[in-house]
Amino acid sequence: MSRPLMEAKPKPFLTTRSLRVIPNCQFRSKTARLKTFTANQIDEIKDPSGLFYILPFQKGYLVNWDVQRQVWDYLFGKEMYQVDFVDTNIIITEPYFNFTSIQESMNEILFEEYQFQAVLRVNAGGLSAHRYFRDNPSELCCIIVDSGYSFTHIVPYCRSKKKKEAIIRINVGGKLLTNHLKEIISYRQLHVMDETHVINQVKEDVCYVSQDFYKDMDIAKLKGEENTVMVDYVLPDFSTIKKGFCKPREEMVLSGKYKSGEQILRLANERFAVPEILFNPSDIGIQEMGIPEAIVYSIQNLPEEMQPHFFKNIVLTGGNTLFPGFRDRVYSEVRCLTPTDYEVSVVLPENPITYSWEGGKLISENDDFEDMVVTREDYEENGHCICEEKFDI
Amino acid sequence: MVEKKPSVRSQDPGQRRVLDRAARQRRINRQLEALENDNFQDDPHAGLPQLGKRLPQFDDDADTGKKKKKTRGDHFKLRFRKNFQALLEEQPVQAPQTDPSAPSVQCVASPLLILVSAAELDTVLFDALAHTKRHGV
Repeated sequence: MSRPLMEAKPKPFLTTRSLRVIPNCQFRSKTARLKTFTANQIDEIKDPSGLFYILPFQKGYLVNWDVQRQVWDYLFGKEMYQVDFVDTNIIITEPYFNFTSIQESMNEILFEEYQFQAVLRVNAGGLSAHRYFRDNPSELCCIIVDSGYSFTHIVPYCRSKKKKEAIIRINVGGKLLTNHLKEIISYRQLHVMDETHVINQVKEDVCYVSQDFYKDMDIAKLKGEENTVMVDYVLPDFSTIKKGFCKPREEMVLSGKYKSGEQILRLANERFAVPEILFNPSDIGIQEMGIPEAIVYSIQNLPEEMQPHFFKNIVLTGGNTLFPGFRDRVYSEVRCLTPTDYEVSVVLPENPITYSWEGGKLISENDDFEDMVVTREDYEENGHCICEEKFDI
Repeated sequence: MVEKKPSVRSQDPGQRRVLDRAARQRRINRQLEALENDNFQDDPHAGLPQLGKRLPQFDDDADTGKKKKKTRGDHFKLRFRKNFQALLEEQPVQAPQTDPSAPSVQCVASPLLILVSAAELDTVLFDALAHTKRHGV
């Protein structure tokens, strides 16, 4: 849901050092009534408890242009990047199989309303693949796993073209994981259904991917010191405690109550059962494959001579890949499902969230960038069809 | 010998309902839809008086101005504020000549290949839901 902001012109707005990841939505707070906070204005909110989210996206597709335009007006305007549209090119990512009507609205808004000089619309995985091939020029194929807020896509790329027939979508994303965590915490210890922002932070702080689910489940059931999985998470109260944290092991009160006035969540199997949904969506009733199975299934739907090349180049991108243990778990499961004579390699880039942005930056510096974009003049002369021809969404 | 903790699940036969397959499916769908929500609570701005909108004065000819804005507003809403369901319904109509078996947003969701006993799944869900209901969560 948060997007690395990407623009390109002869002198790019953002270098890799100044790259910012900004929430692409608006917020409302019951404490700061009457004001709607846009994008990074969330940092101004003193008490983000009960934070209300307004997203332009539904199920990963851009449906609410009101909100999107308000976000862009703010980001492109005088308070933030002060974009000079006439002189600016933009690279913008869209989900796989994006609806034609959304693509057309995007064209209209970028060219007719904002009037960018030129536009490149692309899937995030295309940018990631470009970035990967830059580091691995001898490789011909790679398979990108993009696991983000709304969903997860498994997309094979061969020489920069995606293999549409083998794309798999799993309807599990960070939003679902946070909502599920909110539900099980509310069911077991404390009503937190209103606290999306706080629990999302809990998820990012304590959750991890288990390498052996049943073994960790057994450990999580143990009492006292033996339960090495259990943590006590101190919730922020936004006055004395600005940010949540785990109590250090020495300070944990294993039996009985805490004397201090802090609100504490005791988390054990939640820590790994929540990210487990990415590997076994059927855990919560979603009748779909998990990520490793989907990778193997996707590759097996491709010509046999290409398959070894894909197994050797599995790339993990998107925020969900940041759970500790994610990469190792994907590797071990794919390894088990693959013939021994195939080499399996799973790569987790240093920053899986901005990896696609880095690919976009490289593309913007390419000599053939000019040929990849659609300029405003092109669009004014030829309309939507030139965008349909040039862009592979 | 460790004493078995008494089960918190109600043994009262009056409280136990047997659901049919359709009812279970509806419950599952409701749960999954709930996981798609952006927010659990209502908009904190809902019900507050609209700021910035001038209260109608008696000697205003607001009518003509209002009419213009209204039609523009409707058109705008139609084009730029569709919901996901509307988009899904629209899509095949827009491109009838494409091969229906070609990959599209509808058919690309990953199939489940592991076999799980349907009865097993149903029972687990039923117990969990009944428990939730009893404990008022």
